[in-house]
Amino acid sequence: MSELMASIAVGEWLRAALVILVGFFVAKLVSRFFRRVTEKSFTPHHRLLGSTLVFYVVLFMFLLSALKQLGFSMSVFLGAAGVLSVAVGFASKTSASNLISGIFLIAEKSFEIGDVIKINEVSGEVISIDLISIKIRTFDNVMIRVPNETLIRTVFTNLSKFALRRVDIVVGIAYNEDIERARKVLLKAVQSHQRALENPEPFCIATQMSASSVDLQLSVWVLRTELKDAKSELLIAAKNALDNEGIEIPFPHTSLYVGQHTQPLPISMVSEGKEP
Amino acid sequence: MKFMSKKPIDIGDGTWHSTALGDLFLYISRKGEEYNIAKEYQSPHLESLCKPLSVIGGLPEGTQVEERFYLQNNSDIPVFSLQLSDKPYQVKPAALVKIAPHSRLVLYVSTPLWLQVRSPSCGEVLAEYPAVRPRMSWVGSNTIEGSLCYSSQTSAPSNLSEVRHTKHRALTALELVNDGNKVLVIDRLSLPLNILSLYICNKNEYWTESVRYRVNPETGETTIVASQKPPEQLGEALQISEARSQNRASRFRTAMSLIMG
Repeated sequence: MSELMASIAVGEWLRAALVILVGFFVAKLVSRFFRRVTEKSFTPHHRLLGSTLVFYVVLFMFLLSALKQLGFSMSVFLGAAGVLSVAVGFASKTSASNLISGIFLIAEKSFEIGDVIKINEVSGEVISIDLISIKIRTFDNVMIRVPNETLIRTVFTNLSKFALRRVDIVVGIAYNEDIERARKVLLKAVQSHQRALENPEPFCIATQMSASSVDLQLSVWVLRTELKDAKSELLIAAKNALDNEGIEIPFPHTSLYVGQHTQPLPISMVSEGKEP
Repeated sequence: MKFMSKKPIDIGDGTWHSTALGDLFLYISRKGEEYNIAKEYQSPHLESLCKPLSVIGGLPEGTQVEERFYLQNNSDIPVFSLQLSDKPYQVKPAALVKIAPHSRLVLYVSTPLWLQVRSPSCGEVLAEYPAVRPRMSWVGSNTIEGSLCYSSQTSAPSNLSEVRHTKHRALTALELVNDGNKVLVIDRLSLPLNILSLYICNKNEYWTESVRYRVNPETGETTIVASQKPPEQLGEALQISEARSQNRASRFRTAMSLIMG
């Protein structure tokens, strides 16, 4: 190897160095051009990834050219690269899988940086999408790394894909209450609420007759960005409206039997300050 | 009484001033180069207000300063101006409107104005508030395709003499043309206020340019054309604020579902 290196003239070295230097600037230019061309059609994240890829591909081609200048045989080099890539491929099977998954995820555009997603029990804001993994910041400010392969295999939910979200509030009313009146009261309470969208209109349906109550589902469309506040405020508005109209919201009732079926609980009157 | 269209906010140092428009009460005070702004809304069920800027003892109890801004020097006095809303308005006529095939109809609809505080030197908006707290809505064929807008119920008369003028609302003449062979049913309609300018006419009424909707109910194709001025029968009209979106074309085609959905 040292003989091979020594046999290369200084001029060849300089020429190869020049090719690499030119290659570096050309790669920079091409990558910058890519970024400018894709300014409107790509997201900032995709532009960054694409321009980095373009930079390294162009630089790699110039590197190969420089090696050729130095007299290295490309066929031998490519052959060695092939063997090496197989070896690296076996060694980094998981990383390769994540890498390919990452490319698919980027192409699919299921989510972007800033979106709120939910994977299994984890939900949070996507803070970076990389080739191997994505990083999520949970709402209690914890960073979670999710391998791209997991995202490809698992069902995940993008909570911020669309501008609108529906808030469903389930309210139970007592069996003796007028369901139609309760529906009207609930709808009136949210129809004038600032966070409730006028269109699509809110609706209220009876969903089930549960153990202690008749359950009504009040569904209101709100802006995604206001979801948290809207949920709380609409729940309060619904509760207040039912209270103001005197409509009972029952709590679960349980009948307790002690001892033999027929005998009631013994009750005795106790006067204040005296032992029974 | 005519509300100021571009009036300097020339107020003394350290005193609170108040103005009202629609349901909005706007409070403003100056401490040297610093201006403080607070606002509150009255109940929408009360009668609309229109009060010029006047001195008040102080901020009403419970009202907080919302914004503070600084101007370069004391001679740089901010101005009040009026503007149309920053989003399209979904106009809901009180009753369903049906237009026979190959017929046309002009409806007059009113939408609330926004009160702005601008820097006189650069014209930038320092603060702005709607005269009536707007209700958000969505216009589109479904909850995915469409856009956010405000919503307003209006009587939408078709006769100019029946139009009710208020100082906090601007009127738009909407010409609806049914180009199809089916009856065109209009339950609600999105008015692209962000591409319209605000005018004041001789009678001190606020108007926007007229807008024509050519709709084919069979294909769903709609062409919206904004004219260059308010209706001619109003006489001379003076433009008092430019459209918010200068780049958007005054003529565009869209799907019927995206403006009437």
